Amino acid sequence: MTRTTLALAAGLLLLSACAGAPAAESGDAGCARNHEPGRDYFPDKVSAQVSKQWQVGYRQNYKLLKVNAGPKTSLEQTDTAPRSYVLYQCGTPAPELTGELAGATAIRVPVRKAIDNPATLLGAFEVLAPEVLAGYGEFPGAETADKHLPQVSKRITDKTAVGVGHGDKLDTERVLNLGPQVMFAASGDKARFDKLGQGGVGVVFYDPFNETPLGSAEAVKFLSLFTNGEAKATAHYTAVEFRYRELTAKAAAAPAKPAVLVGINGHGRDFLAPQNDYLEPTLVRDAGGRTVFDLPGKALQRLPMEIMIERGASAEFWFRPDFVGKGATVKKILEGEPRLSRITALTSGKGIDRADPRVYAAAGLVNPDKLLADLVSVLHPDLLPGHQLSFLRRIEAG
Amino acid sequence: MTQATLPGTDTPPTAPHRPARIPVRAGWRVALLGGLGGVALLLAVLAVSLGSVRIPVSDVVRAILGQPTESPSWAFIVTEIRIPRAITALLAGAALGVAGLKMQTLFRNPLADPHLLGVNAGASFGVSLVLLGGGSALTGGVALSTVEGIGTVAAAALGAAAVMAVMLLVAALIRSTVIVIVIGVMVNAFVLAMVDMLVYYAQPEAVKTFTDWSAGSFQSVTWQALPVLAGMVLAGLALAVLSVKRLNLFLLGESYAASLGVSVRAFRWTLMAGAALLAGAVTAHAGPIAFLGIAAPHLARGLLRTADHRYLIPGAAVLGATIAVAASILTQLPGSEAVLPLNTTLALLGAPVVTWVLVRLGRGRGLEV
Repeated sequence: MTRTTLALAAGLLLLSACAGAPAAESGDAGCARNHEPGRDYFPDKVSAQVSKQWQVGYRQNYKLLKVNAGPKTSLEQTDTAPRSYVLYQCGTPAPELTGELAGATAIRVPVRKAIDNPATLLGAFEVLAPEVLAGYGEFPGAETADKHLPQVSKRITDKTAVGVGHGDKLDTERVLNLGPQVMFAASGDKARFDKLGQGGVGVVFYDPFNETPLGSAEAVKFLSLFTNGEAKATAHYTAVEFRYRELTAKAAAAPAKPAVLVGINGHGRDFLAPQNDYLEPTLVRDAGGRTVFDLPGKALQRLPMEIMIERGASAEFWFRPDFVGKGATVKKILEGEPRLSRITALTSGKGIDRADPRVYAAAGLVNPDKLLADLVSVLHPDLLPGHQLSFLRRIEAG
Repeated sequence: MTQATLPGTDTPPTAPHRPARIPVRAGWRVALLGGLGGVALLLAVLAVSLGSVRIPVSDVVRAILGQPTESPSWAFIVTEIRIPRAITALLAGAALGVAGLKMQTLFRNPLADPHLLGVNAGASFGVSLVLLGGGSALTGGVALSTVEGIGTVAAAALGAAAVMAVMLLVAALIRSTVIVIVIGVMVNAFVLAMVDMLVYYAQPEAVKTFTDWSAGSFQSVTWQALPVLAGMVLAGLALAVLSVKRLNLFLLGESYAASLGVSVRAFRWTLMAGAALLAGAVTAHAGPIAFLGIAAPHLARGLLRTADHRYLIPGAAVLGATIAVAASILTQLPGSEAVLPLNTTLALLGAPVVTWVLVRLGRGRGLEV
């Protein structure tokens, strides 16, 4: 009964997606042939339910997307003002950018070519429209074929999606040469991006990494605004959210809440701990654990090593979300900083980190239910017996 | 180039002159040095007692005596973090102060410091290969694979040694000290440009790790590494003490020193090797530490009012150690959960003090080396 219902629901969603897309009525796939004033060109709609980073309003032939200013993450980031984007339906006239639209960037949708400069939307492209991905932030590891990103990996491997530099080292000429309609960026130099704008590339600032788990999963919805893939995005997000909340409820019922040390440090360095509203502490709480440090905010905070040693020594687990490198072992970590032997969670085999930091960022963010399942299986093995870790890994003894 | 003056005088020498005859205030200077040493030790005791974690003095004493403390972590924090950190600060401060003094005397330039030897640049290059190489489009991961597995200490030591070897070779081949110093600046620029290239093409997160290392840290040194650091620093300090007479002769200029029997090229090489040993040991273990190398010698000259290296060497060592330990305490912001980067703290703490001392004690006399 349940399966049948789900199948029907999925079928309806897909039908709805097809019906909503104007592709059928145009020679240019996805474009409207004739503009019909008063018609709702976007029957499928999404909204940000969790994310505070963006909001969208639907009009007849365009969507007004507002993205709040993210944190200043780049020396070259000279503009941190909130931004507005008018995403107007292909085949219909672009609205005049006056009134509430003044200062907005107009982008025709659905886009055919897009560039993911921070490489944090690769997972969303995989779910929605891998064929749209023309370029990506050239982070090491993004090139690696991964089971979580099969279609995106293939495009990267066969070079139908190419590297364009990353962050502030963006290769502007290469971007212009690719001719995308839109490029996603986490931050950057306004002057440089203005040049891209003059070249017909709409630059959209968005950083899903700066979200709570379900907020980051809404990256799929965010991308769908540009591909007119709202129905598909809703289907993905709804399933993810359902599984996430189901797991959260399951973990909340666990009798004990193990203490988890969250953060990283290395040779002689102080401890870099994510604050409460950052991704990993939220995951820990939702997985039925409690973080050793109670740090209000959503940034990374540096703590003295001696505080980390004192408070972290008795933690039952150490979630060590390292940014770089793969395959760290207890032996290697202790060789780098012998004093971490004081953290019994590490030496007793209860240390965990990201299996692959890049894939974690790209695919994990849009599948936080899988991240959560990994963490629940570590903190409460009896709740998910036999679970195989996807995005996390146990730090091996070495 | 700053004109040298004789110890205790305001005028440059007009003829070969015996430098550094013990002046009448010798006893005062010795007492001052003793007092400064006491301050350094007192600060070291404070550094062991104060920290982010509030540990009662009685438990600090118990930890030092090897007795159990109220919280088991306290003993660990005192013995494994605070004591090595304080000792490292003392050693690093003394080493960089003396290395800076030697460089300023050698090059007769008040702005000279161990950086001129390429120590920091070389160490940075070694560490950048480890931390950034694998993520760099420039190296395609090749660099990382060749140095992966060696820690940042070893990478820094190798990098510093490589660049120092070049500079020592230059010093052995080139007669002119001015040319040596200019080549030093060029070598530094070249090596730092390579580091910049790696940084430019590296992942932002790796750059952050590298930036962390560049901020310097006295708590990087563990008991296991301390004997190596201490051995190298003590050897470097011993070399400096053995060079006192010739350093004083160098104040009069290379020609005078040569006329008094000093083998200028050999001594220059020895000086550079000694300074490189001191600075290289510190950089390899604690990261690039700025400010001390240039500040401690000036502070010593200002407080001791002499150019005599018999006083300046212990003075620069003690003052370097004092500033370093004080900065080490401040970086931990005792009683709070915040930390400050070491190099920032060093400059914030030391620059006003050094400026004040120079202005107050050296008013109207110019900067003399």
